[in-house]
Amino acid sequence: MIFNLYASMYYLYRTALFRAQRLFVGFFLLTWVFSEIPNSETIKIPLLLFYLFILIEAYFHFRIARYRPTVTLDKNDKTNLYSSCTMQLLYPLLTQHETSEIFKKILAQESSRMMLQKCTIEQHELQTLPVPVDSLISYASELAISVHGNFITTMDVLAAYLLMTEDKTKLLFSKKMKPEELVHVLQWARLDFPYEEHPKSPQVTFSGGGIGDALVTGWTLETKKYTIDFTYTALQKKPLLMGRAGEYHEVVEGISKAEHNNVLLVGDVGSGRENLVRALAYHSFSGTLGGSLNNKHFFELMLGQLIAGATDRSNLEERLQAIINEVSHARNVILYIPEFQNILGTGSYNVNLSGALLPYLKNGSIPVVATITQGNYKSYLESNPLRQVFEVVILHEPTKDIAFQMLFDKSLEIEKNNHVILSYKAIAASVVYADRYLQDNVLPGSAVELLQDAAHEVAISSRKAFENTGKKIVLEEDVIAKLEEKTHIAVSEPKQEEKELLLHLEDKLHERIVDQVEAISAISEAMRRLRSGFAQNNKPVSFLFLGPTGVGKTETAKALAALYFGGEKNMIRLDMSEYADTDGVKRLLGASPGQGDERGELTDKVHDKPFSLILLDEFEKANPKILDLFLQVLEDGRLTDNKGKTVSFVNSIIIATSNAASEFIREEIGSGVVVDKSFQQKLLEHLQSKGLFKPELLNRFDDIVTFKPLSQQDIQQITLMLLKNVSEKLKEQDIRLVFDQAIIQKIAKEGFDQQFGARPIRRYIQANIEDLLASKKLQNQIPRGSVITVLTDQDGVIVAKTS
Amino acid sequence: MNLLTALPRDFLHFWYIEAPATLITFFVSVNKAFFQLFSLPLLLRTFFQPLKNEYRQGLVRFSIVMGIIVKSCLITVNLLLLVILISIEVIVFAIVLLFPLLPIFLLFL
Repeated sequence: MIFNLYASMYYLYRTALFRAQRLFVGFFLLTWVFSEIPNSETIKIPLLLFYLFILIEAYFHFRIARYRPTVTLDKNDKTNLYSSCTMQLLYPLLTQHETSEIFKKILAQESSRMMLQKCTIEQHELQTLPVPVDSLISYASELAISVHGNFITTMDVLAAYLLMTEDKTKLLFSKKMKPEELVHVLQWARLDFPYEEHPKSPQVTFSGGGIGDALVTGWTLETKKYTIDFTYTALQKKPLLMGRAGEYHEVVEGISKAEHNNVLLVGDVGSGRENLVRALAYHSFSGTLGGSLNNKHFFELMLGQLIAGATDRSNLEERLQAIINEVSHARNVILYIPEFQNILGTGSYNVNLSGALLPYLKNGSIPVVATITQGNYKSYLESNPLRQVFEVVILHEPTKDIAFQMLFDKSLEIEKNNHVILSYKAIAASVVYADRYLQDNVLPGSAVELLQDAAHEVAISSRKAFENTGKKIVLEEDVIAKLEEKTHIAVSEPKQEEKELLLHLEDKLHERIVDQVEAISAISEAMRRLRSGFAQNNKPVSFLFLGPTGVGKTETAKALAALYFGGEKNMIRLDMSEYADTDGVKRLLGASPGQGDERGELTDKVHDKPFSLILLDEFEKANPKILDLFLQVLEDGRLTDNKGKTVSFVNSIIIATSNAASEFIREEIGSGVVVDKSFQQKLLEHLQSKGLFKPELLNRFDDIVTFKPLSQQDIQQITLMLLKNVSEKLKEQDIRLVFDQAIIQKIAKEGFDQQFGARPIRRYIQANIEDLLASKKLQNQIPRGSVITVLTDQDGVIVAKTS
Repeated sequence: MNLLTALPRDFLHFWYIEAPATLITFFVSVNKAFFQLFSLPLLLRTFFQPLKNEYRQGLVRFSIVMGIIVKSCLITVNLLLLVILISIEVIVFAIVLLFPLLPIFLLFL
């Protein structure tokens, strides 16, 4: 086979020794030729040898080194897969017999090293187990076909080897890589190193306008005062079009029309609107757009500069007219207007230029590319006559798979800027977590931002470089740490301390809550599920606490906030009785555009702290419209405020408390009924029959927890707990408080109220013990280090004795 | 034996079919870049249009005349350079085609 010979030659030619020999021979022959120039008879031999030398070198460089396999994979009947192998692969396969030697040659390729780096595999970790070459090639061909490759490359063979030996080495498993993720890495490597499969053919290209362009295009002196050269910005880096090819095609079509040749890119922050304009400017400069779109200059309108110094409206219009005249006669200018709503009289600029621009936008004399967000488009442009002159291109948020591909492309730039290596898992994590937790931007922008921040953090850290690359590697953990820092959401695996807390959450909660075992257990289990990755991704964890007042419903939420959310101050507490009228909706979701600047009390807080405990006290008292809003929150985990901003609740825990049906609970439990499934069923029927809550709302809670009325024993325990709190306060002042069982029974008996539960006990202790001690302390009757005994006198009055 | 015949056959196929085709493609790209750099098609297309696409009244006629003069000079230089470029390309192409025949000249002529 000819390619066998090619492979041997390719290998031989590339060895250092042979290179040196070739150089020596070439130099020797050339010298010989020059030395024989005076003698026309003897020069023939050195000239002939030199000629042969040139011929062989040319044949090697232009034929062998640029060898392309003869048969594409789709036409290969698998009888001879070598005919579909690239030269870089053929030469180790055909010249080496040991697997270790083959991989030594394969790993000399940059593309193979890149694949290992992306999987965070160091070269010394790669065990070279003997694998039959034919099976390896066969598996590699299947992989190449699966990623739509034409030929088998060194990258396919490396991936095939890793997958074939995984059962024995468990190398991918140790790196937390799944087989399909390795195939993604293979795809990525193939995109980054296309020349192994398709060697570059020699070509000369010229970008930009020629020497005649300046002669035939018009002046733009005034325009340049109020714009910046966006083409220059666009040329700084190659724009990426992965996943946006359709939208880009629409833009090119829209801008090349004879009339109404204006394009409006509608997309949220992070959707890549500016990147698309960059791509257009870049390809226009490169001359690859074809037709009249080549060599256009993109000028970005600077509204601030246009307005600055303008004395009045007519002055401003004069400036605009000058720009319009110049641009319409320049022939080679496309105006780029970012945040188009700014020239529609909105925002701080308060300038409406739409009327002046409209006729020129209509007749196609000033081509414009503008960008706007979805919300602003709906608010200001959808029903505006200006909308008709634009080709509207909507940039929808890409799917996670597409965003992933986009990030592969972008990763090269991030790696270069930060001098780091981005691992596959880091990129995957940035897409998954940005999609789930970063609410302000959309994909791919949100993931790019997260990845950039993580890469920057790693770049300035003291971490060791990966292998001998001189670059630090960005891992999945780095992305998660950056995300947690940005959002305050616990995403990573819980640490030992947190695990301990989760495992003993019931005990910790019971330090504040007496009895209510079912409720505490339900909450603790939900927290454990949430932190172990078993929670549902599209809805928040939610509970409805039902029971009489003063039995610990709110206190349970507070205790959880104190234990798990860094204190009660971090709990979002809404007293739903304040939202009984229809104005409550406005308070919760903020004012609509044009109706004020009020921010949503609920949406804003959750937006700022997505991982929060939301306590909805006295839930049944909220306006029915508000209860309907919570239908959506509990089901879809999202709520859109009146400004159009959607807030995710999926990372929140919602606890709604209600006294509804408290009489029913009291009566049933008082008659000896046990809180079990049949009781819960009866309770739900009662709630629905009384019309207290809609059945669909009740169904959306993860759990409806019944808080039982307090028993005498519970009350005494609560009293003891409250007295201990007083004792703790005094202990800080080096004063010891002593009390006996009799005083506990007295407080429990006199402080407890059947209707208000345990709440009056606290007030009783305040009025009868704390007030007493406070006045004694002010009268200097309780010095530091003293012991106070609280007891009752003969008349049953509480007194405090100091010793 | 197969190998001994295959290699010269492959060499000839490369030198007289693949290499000329690649060379022509390369020359086409060079010529395109030349046209782009020296704007020959653009100058011809806008030959009778005013210089700097002047639109202000009173300056248009003057600009047309000036445009014709300046563009004529540029087009002349362009054509001259184009002739030189194409000549070089033809010579290089011929040398490549004749290169394997050089030993005959060297040894027998």
